[in-house]
Amino acid sequence: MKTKILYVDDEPINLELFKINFEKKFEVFIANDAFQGLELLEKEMDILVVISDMKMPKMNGIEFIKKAKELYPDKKYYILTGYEINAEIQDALNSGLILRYFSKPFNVKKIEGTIIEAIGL
Amino acid sequence: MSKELPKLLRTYKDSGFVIQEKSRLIYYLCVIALTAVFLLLAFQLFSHPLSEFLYRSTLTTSGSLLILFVLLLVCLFLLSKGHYILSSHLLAIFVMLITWLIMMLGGDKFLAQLNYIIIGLMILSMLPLIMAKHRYSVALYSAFNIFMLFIFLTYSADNYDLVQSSKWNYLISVSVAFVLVALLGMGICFINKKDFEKAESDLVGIKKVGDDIKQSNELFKTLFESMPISMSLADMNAKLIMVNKAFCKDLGIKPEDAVGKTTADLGVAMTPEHEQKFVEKLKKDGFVDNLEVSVVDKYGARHELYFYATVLTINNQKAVLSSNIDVTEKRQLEFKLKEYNTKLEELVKERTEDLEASNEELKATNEEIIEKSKIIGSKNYELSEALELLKTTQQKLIQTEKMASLGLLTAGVAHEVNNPLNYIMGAYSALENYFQEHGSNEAAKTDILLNSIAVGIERISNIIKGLNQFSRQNDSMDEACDLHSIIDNCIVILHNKLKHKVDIIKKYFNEPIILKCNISQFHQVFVNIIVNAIQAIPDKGTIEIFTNVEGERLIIEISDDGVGMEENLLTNITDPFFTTKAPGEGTGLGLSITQTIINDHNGEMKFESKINKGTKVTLSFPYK
Repeated sequence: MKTKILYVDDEPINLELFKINFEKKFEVFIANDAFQGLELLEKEMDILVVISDMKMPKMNGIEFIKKAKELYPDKKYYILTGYEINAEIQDALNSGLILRYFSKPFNVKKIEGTIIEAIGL
Repeated sequence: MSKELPKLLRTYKDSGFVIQEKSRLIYYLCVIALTAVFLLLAFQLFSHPLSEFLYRSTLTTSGSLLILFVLLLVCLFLLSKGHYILSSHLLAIFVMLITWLIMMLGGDKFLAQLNYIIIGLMILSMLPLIMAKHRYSVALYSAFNIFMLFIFLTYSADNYDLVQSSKWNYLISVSVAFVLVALLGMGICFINKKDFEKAESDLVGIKKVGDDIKQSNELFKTLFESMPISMSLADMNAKLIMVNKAFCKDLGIKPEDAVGKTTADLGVAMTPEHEQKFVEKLKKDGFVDNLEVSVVDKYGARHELYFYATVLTINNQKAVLSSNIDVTEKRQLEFKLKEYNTKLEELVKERTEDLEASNEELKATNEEIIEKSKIIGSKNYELSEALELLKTTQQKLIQTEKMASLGLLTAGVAHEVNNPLNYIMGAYSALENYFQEHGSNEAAKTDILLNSIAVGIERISNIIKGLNQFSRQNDSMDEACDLHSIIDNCIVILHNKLKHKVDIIKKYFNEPIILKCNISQFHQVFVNIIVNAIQAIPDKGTIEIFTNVEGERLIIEISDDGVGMEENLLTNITDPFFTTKAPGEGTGLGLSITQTIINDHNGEMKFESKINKGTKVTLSFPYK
């Protein structure tokens, strides 16, 4: 049984490529925005890891994760962004909202390693 | 000296002394004659009883006497009219005629008194001698008298039995007496005349001298009186003989009050010491000249005098002529002048002091002004410093603003680039995975292709990362910085400038150096320093980057082998707007901002440079 992870991004290509690159090791759920992500999380209660893009319409990555964490505090949350680290992300890191942040272009191995380590497989 | 003339002789008041005496003599003679005639008349009247009076002889005698009385009155009248000579002759003639007439008429009655009558007539005959005019009429008168005597004797002798011989004897003796007396009188008169003439000529001289003396005396008196200075003449007992008006005025007395008194009597006295001095000097030299003495007047007021005195001899008596000038007023004026002078001096002194004080004040004010001016100067300097700082700050703000805008831009661009890059990366990762699973027909070729994609993504990614690092917005100073990666990032960003021109030689410390800093700012530091190094290299060169940890300090040396700089410019190179680059190429702010950042990180920056050898920048930061 593969570990279920959720990736939220507003760009479909990113979503597709993420799914292609990680579906070997994980069962990847993808969502086009925060609301979809929250719906999926509600549906798939056993998703352990959530990775979100930062810049999204309506609700950004950190805001989404904040809501999600309120509902599902035990899941591991990460940010994958094309931006450099900023104050918001730094705060999230400091408060423990997210465990880590990854920058685009993503490094598959790095992300894999981090998730595996986090969930203790 | 001369007795006053009788009123009758007032005609001769202005005549000469001799004439006055002559007229006086005639007058007396007339008066005596008149008295004698009057007495004889009276005698005639009282000595004869009235019955006898009517006798012829008595009557004729009395009548003759009366006529003579009248004639004498005529003589007096003529005398009073100034005809004294005529009067004298008439007197003589009338008396002689009447005497002889009476004698002739009287007969023997007068024989007994004949001698006395002859003597009287003889004296009368001498009258012209006394008058000194018509002297020779003496002879006439004498002859007439002798003749009359002859007739009388003849007539009387005939009548009264006179002895003839005695008659001639008597006549001769009388004649001889007349002649002798006349001669004697003439002789005396002649001698007297000589004497008289001489006396008269002497008298003229004497009169002249007298006039001169009188004039001198007048002059002296006028001078003496009109002298404005006090003058006095005193005898040797200091009793005043003569004083002038000024003297009287000074003492407030009348001239007549002064004579015969001493000045001390008048209440004026020299002070004893002055008096002693004055007397001694006068005794010794006979004069005193310009002696300064003090005198106290009767009111007790003190006067200062210049005293002059000379001993004179007047009428065989010694006297002292003194004069003095009262200089009290002058002295007072002098004293006042001196006082005014002193006052003036004091005033001048006072004014000078005031002026000096004012001057001091002015000086103080001036100093204050200078002081204030200095303060203003320094404030001005501070202001210009502040202005300069403001300008610098403004420029730095502009630069910061630029950096902020650049940061935003870079961030936006990076995000936009990163997403497509993520596509490529994702696709590459997926492809690589695919080929690993399924293999490739031309594995060598596809590997190269895949690798090329990977390297491209890597390089783009690095540039974006570097840019992000360079321009990221974060003010915190305690980000954990990996020094080596920051330097590497900078090199990546500057790759375009470095390639084909500059070789970078990294001599990094053998361990990663992590320090607390502001990552963006640290990027700026190294970009600035490395850009300067690149620009210092004209064609080709090397930049050596050396890092080391020495004790608690971190040392970074960045050296180039470029053109170098003159040593004197090194002190200015961190000044804002200082640049050696061509206009437009550099803002002159790079190293200034760098210095500020280094200061904010408690670091130091030093420069060493040699012309055509290169420049070395040494940075040091605290490191634990």
